[in-house]
Amino acid sequence: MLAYALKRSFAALLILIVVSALTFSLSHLSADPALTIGGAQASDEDIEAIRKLYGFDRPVYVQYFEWAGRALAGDFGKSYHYGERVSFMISQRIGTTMTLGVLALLFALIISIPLGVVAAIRPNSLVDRIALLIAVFGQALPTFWFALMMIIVMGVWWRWLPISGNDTWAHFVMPTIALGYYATPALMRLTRAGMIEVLGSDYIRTARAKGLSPSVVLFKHALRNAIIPVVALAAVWFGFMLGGSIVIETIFNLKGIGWLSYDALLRSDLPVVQAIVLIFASFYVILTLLSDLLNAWLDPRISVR
Amino acid sequence: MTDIAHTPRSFGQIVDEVLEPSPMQKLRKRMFGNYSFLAGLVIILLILAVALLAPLLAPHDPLETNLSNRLTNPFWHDAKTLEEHPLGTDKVGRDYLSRLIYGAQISLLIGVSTMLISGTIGTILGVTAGYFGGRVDMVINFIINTRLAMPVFLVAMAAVVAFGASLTVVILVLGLFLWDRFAVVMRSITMQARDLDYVKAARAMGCSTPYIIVREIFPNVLGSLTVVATVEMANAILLEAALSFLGFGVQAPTPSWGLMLNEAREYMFFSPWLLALPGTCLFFLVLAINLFGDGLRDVTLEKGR
Repeated sequence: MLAYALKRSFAALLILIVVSALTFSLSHLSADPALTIGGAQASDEDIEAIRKLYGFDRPVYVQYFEWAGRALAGDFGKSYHYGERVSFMISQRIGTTMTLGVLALLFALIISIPLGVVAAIRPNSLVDRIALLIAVFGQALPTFWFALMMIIVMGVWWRWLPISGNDTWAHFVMPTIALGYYATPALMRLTRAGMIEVLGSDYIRTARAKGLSPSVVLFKHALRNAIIPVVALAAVWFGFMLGGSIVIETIFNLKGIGWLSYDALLRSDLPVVQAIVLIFASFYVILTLLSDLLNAWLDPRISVR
Repeated sequence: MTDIAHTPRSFGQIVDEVLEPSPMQKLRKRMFGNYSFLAGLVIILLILAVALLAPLLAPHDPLETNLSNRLTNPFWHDAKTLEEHPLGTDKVGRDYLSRLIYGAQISLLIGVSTMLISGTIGTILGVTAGYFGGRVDMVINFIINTRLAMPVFLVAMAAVVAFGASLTVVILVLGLFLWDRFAVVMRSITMQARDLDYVKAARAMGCSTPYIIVREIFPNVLGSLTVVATVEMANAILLEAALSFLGFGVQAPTPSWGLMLNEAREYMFFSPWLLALPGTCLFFLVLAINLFGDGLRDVTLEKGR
């Protein structure tokens, strides 16, 4: 188990290094940051001076190692546009994105687990078919369009909810639904499949034969086992949701790091974009690692493979 | 009790009883018994027909502007428009129905070409990893995990900024990013197929590796390949729409549904149909592809869902 954990952690670290090197070189090879900083009015001498000042005249790999070394210490340099420290800009906004991500995930779980359980109790029944239909429709609904339609209906026509900003909890309701519903089909299908498998197993038959009440069998014996892969998948979905937060935060003017990355891309503010890519990637890698380790701990066969 | 042997039967019934249906007959029966597959297929064919016949169906040139006839109402608000512009006009007086019709071309083009690029990359990587195993598998698995760690949407936006926004760039960027699911699925299926008896036999007979992969392994993965292809096609269409919606995708005046949503956003309070219509088109296209893919999985694969 320990050897497996070490091996997986090492691979995770290596992945982060490769991802950061890729994003760094992609952004530095394709666009000249000196032109962005200098702006349209800058003369050739100005550009040259900016290159020297920021060290853009050195080879890309030297710049990368310098940037990566600082990034390890939590220093992502300064924003080209705002001149502020990137780490400060992110620390101010990451709370909003995390809140949105956690709320959206909770929303998805609250919908998908009961739906998956009910569907699994009677496979191919009417309830199961309706649940499947909801999943199929949910998957086809473009997130950002759903968000816009919610704004029109709930925000403008009915005036139930605020449509822009992040001042109160009410501001989080629509973004949470918009971001969360997209994860429900996958989580529901997994809950359903897991429950069907568990409900057909011998120990459930034993539990029923002992005369335990159906609800005890269902929740205490079956769901507890079926839910483990769902939790593991939910962790991975949290990583995806951070990516999805870009569109949702932009639409609702919710100023988290998704919105920040959109703003930075509009201004070609490379240090901010690089830092956010690395943060999103780290979240994904760490969550996947944790979910793998959780699975390996619960099922020791995995770590032997 | 009636004696079964003495019930009168037609010749056809006897033939049916004696002969097992051929595999093709079984497949056809399952295909026509699967409503999700049929419904998906019908909608896809309809949208495909609309896209191919766009020049005949569209009442106007989708790019023809008319500033004196801007933002006219659709027929349910103003019956007079029914003949000239049934769904009204957009902010520069372009016929909305014609733009929606031509939008089908863009979405299908993006979906199909992205799927072909990513499918090729993913299948080559997955089959190679699955067939050779060992070190090769380790390296390719690492590449897959690295790709999964990259936040697709953010990196795609950054790449569009770096290389300039155009239809080609969007297709290439998405094609180079969305191969992960192909690779993961192809890898695990190839691993199973590698140990089948007839593949072992081919190896023992001295068939060359390329021959075995193309003739013995590939037919095994084809079913899953088509299912993944539908999922990724839908995914690419949704991502392009989201990219174009944020202004990081296809550029004006191309009639992309995502871009139309972007242009309609500022009129969402007074002309909500400008938002509702392109989104509905997107929803139906993606729904049809998902239904078709789900149905295909049930039809072609032994284990459903």
